[in-house]
Amino acid sequence: MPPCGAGVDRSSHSMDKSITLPPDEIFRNLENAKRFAIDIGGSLTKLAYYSTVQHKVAKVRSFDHTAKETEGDPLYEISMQEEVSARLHFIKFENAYIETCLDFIKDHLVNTDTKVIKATGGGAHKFKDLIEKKLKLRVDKEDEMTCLIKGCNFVLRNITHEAFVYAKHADSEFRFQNTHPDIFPYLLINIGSGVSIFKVESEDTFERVGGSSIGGGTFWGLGALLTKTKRFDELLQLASKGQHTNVDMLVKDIYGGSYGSLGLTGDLIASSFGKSATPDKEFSKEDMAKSLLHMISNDIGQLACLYARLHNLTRVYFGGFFIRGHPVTMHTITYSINFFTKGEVQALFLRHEGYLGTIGAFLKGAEEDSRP
Amino acid sequence: MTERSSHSMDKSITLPPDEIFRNLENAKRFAIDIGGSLTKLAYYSTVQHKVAKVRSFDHTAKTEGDPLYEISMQEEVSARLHFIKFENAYIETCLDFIKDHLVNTDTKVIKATGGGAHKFKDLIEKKLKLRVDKEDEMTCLIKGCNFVLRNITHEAFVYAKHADSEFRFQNTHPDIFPYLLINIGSGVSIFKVESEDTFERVGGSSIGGGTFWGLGALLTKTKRFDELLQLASKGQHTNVDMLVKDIYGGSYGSLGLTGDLIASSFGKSATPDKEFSKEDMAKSLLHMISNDIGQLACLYARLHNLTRVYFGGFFIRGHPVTMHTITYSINFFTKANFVRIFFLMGSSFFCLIHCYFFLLYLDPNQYSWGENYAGSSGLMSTSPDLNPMQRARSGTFDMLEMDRLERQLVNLPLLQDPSSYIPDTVDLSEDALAREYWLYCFEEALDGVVKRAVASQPDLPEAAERAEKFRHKYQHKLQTLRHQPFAYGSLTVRSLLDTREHCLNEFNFPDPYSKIKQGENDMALKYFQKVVKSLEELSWEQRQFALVRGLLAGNVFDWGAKAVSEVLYYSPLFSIERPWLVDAYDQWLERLKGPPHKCALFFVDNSGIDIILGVFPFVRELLCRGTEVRSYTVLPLISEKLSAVKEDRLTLVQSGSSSPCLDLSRLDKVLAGVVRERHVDLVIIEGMGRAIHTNYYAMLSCESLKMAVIKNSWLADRLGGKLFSVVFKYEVPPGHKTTTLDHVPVTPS
Repeated sequence: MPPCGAGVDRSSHSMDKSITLPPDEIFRNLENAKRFAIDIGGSLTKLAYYSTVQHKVAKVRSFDHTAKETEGDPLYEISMQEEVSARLHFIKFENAYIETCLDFIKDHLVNTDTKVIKATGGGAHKFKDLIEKKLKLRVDKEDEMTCLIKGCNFVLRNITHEAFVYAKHADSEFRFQNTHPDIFPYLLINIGSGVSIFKVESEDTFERVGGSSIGGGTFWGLGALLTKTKRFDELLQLASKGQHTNVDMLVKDIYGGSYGSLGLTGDLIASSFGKSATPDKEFSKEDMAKSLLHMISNDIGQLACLYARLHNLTRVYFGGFFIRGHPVTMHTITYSINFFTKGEVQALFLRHEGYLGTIGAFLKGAEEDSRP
Repeated sequence: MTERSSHSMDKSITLPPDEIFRNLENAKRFAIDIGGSLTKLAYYSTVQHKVAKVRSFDHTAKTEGDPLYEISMQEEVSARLHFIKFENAYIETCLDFIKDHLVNTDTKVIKATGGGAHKFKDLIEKKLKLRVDKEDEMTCLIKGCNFVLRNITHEAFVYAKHADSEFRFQNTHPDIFPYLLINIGSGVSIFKVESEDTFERVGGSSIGGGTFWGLGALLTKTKRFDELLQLASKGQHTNVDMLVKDIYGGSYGSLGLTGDLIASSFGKSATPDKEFSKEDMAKSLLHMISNDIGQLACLYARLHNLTRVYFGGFFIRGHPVTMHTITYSINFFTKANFVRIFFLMGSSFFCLIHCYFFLLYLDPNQYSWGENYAGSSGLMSTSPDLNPMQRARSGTFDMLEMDRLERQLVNLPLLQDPSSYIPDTVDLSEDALAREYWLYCFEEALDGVVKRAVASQPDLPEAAERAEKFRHKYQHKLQTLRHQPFAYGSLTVRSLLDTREHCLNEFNFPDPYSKIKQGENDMALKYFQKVVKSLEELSWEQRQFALVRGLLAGNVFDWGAKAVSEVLYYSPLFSIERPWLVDAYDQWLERLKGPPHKCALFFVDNSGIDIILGVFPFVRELLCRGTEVRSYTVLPLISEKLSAVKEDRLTLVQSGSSSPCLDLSRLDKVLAGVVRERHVDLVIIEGMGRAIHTNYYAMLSCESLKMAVIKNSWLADRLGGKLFSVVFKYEVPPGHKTTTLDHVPVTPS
C-alpha cells in the first residue's frame, strides 16, 4: 500500500551498509511498529507492520448554550489535539536487500513487545535463520496460499477501486471496479515464478484447482537466455518495444491469409517462435522478448478462461509479480481472455497484487492476537 | 514389385529409388500435403501379384489317377495406397523423380492440402504438369483420422514409460466417436469430433512443435528438429527448471504438490552468469511444451465431457520423451483417470489419407484397408539414433502402405464384448522372454520358408533370386522388431506371421505350401471315404471320441507325413491320453447327447491332410446331427469332396486373409450377416494359430469349442504342459440355454 499523508520527521541516519536505504521514505513509523509479517518470494520480499501514528486532529468543542445567551461568545471551539491511530505499512523490495533491511529494522525497533514475525512465501524457509538471528523474533510460518487468499479477500473488501479492467485502446486504460460486499465466488490466478489457480468460494473455502509452470519465472528465465538481459523489468522494457510478428508464425504466414472456415484471423499467432527455426537469421532482443511475453500471457489467459468455464466462474482476478501493473502483460492477458471467452469473462487486475501474501500473513497474526 | 535398377541421378539429394516411391509406374492418382516442414505424398497404384487359384475337375466321369484339382498361379491386380513423408527440402528432387517415372499419366489433377500447398503450387504445376486442386486441411485431417482409427490395427496406443511395455496398443473399434483430437503441428489445434461429419475446432494454442523448434534453435543453435529431440532426450530439466522443492525445500503438502513438480519452467535460468547445457535447455523446453499441451487437452476434454483423446501431428512423431511428458501431464491433471489418451502412429499421414479419398471419388469406408507391413517404415523409424538398424536415409523418408481388402471387415456378432476383445493371447511387446523366443523361432524357420517358397514355383527360374530378396526383407523386419517391438503396433505371433505373409506376397510367393498341399490333398482325399466308413462302424460314443482325436491329431502333423489316415486314427505314435491339459471333453460329449446345434461356424485352415481327414469327418457328423455348418477358411476348398453330404447345409466361406491366425474383430461383413441370419449357436476354432496364439481367451456369446495341440515345447511349457499337450476348451456363456430345435433331433445310435 503506498504510504500517504505526512510522515513523522526522522533525520537521516548514516548507515555503513553497502546498500543505502532511503530512510525517510521507507520504513516509516518503525519506532512504533508492533506486529510484523513478511512474505519472501522467489525474488521479492514484502514486509508488513502495524504501527501507531500520532497525528494532530482538529477537535470541535461546542459550549453549552442552554443556560446563557451571551452575545459574542463563541458557539464552539476548535483545538488541535494529538491522536494515536493504527496504520498498516507495506514495503516491497528485492531479496538482495533483505539483510540490509533486517539490520535497519533492528536498529529502529523501539517498542519491541513483539515476539513473533509471521512469515510466508517460498523464501521464508531460506531466510528463517537470518531473520531470527537479526531481529530476535521467532519466525512463525504461515501457509502461503491461505495468506494469499486471505489477503485478496481483504483488499477486495477494503480498498476502493482495488480491482480494475485493463483496456489498452479505450479512452481510459484503467476501469476500476467498485468495492462490493459480495465478492465470492471468484477465480484467482496468481502469476509468480509459476502460476497457481485458485477457486475461492468463501472466506474459508478455497481450492487450488490448477496451475502451470509457464509463468513469470519462465519469462524471466527464457528471456534472460534469449536476450542476455538479466533483469525482469528490463525484459519487460524490451518486450514493450518489440514486434512479435518477426518471430512468431502467424496464421497468414501459413495460409497466406485468414483460415476462414475455422474462424482464425490471419494475424492470430499460429506458432510462438515458429519463425525462429529459420537458419542463419538473427532476431532482435526486443522482438524475442515481445514474442515470449505474448506466448506466456496468452497461455495463462487461455488456462484462466478454461478453468473459469469449468468452474462456472465469471470473475477472474490476476495477481502476482508477473503482472506488476505492466501494461503489456495486462494487455496480452486481457486480449487472450477476451479471445478465448468471447467476452464472457473479464480479466480483473489488482492494484496491490504484490502484497496479498503479506496482508494475509499479517491478518493471521492479528487474528491470533485477538483471540482470548 | 518390378525390378528397377538404380538410376543415376544428378540431383543434389539422391533418392533410394528401390525403396521409396514404390510402384510409381502404375501410379494413378496423387495427393500431396505440404506442412510447415514436412511433405506427405500419397498415390494410388495397382500392384500385380500372383495368387494361387484352385480349379477342381469334374469327377462325375472319373479316371483313376487323375489329379482331383489343379492349383494355378494367376496374376491378380489389387489396389494399394502409398504414403511417403519427407522434409520440404526434398520436394523439388522428389517432384523431378516422380515426373521421370510417371508412365501412365492419364492423371490431370493433384489434390493438395496443408498450409504449404499455396507456396508450392506453382512448382508442382510446372514440374508435374498437373493441376493443383486444394482441399480444406482440417476436414482432411479429421476424415483421415477417422479412417485410420477404423482401418489400421493398433493405430492408437497408450504410452507408459515405466511399464513393462512402453506401448499398449488399442484395437480397432467400429465405435470411434466422440473423441478429442489434438493435432500438434507448428501450433496446436484441438478438435471435438462427434461423427463422420460433425466436428469443431474447440481450441488451440500457439505453443506447439514450432515453438519447440524455434525456441530450441535460438537456445541451442541446433537447427534440426530431430537433433533437438535428441538433445532433449539426454538432458536434465531440473538444472534449468525451478521445482517445487527449490522454492519450498520439499513438497507443498497442503496443496498436494510434490517436490519434484516443475513450479516454473526455466525458472532457474535467470540466474546471472551461469551457463546451461544445450541438452538441459532442450529437455526443459520439451517438458514445458508437452505439459502445457497435456493440460490444455485435459481441460478441453473435461469441458466437453470427452474421455478419448488422440494426439497426432509432427511434434509427437513417436518420440518417447514427448509422449511420456504428455501422458504424465494428462495423468497429473486428471488424477481420477477420467481421460484416456492415445497416440496415433501414422498421425501425420491423416491429412493426406483423406485428401486422397476425395480424388478417388469413393467413400473410404465402403472398403476395409489393411496396413502392408512389408512397405511401411513403422513407428519411430525417423529417429535414427533410437533405431540403429535403420539406414541413414530413413531419417528423411517415412513410408506407409495400405492395401485395399477385397471385403469390408466387421466384428463377429457373437463376441461377448467387442470393445474389450483382444485377439492375441500374448503381447510380445510386453513380454521380453516370449519376444526373444518367438523372434528366434521365426529366424530359425526362415531357411525352411525360403526353401519351400522356391520349391513352390519350380517352373520359374528367378524364384530363387526372389526368395533371397524375401529372406533379406523379412530378416530385416525381424531385426527391426528386435530393437523396436512396437514398430507396427503390439508385437504378437500373429503380427510376425502376417509380416512374413506380406513379405512373401511382396516377392510373389502367394502360397509357399501350395505344392505340398496339393500332393497331400490328393492323397488325403483318396483316404476320405475309407476313414468315413471306418468311423461309421464305431459306436456313437466311440465315434465322438475318434472324431475329436482325429481332429486333434490332424493338428499335430505338418506337411509331408506319410500314411496319414493310419497315423491320424490308429497310430500309437500319437498318444492322446486324457486328461488333457485343458479338458472339457466330458461336457462336450454331454452336450452332444442333447439337441443338435442350429448352425455351427467352423474356423479352419485352407486345405491339407488335417482338414480332409480331421475336420471333414467332424463336420460331417455335425451335419448328420442336423446342424448347419458354415466353414470359414482361407482358400477355396474342394467342397464337393464332402460328397457324403450332398446338401446345401454346408457353406464354405473364404476369409480373405491368408493369416493362420484369426482376428474375430475383422471378419468379412458377409459372414457377419450369415451369422446373424442363420442364428449361429456354436463356434469351433481349431489350430494353434487360431485357438492358442489368438482367441484363447476370446469370450463368445454362444457355445464355443477351441481345439489345438500345442506343437511348440516352449509354449507348452508356458501353459504348464508338455509338447503335444491338448487343449480342448468347451465354453458355454453364463446363463446360456441350449437352443431346442423344432424338428426331431438325431438320436445317438
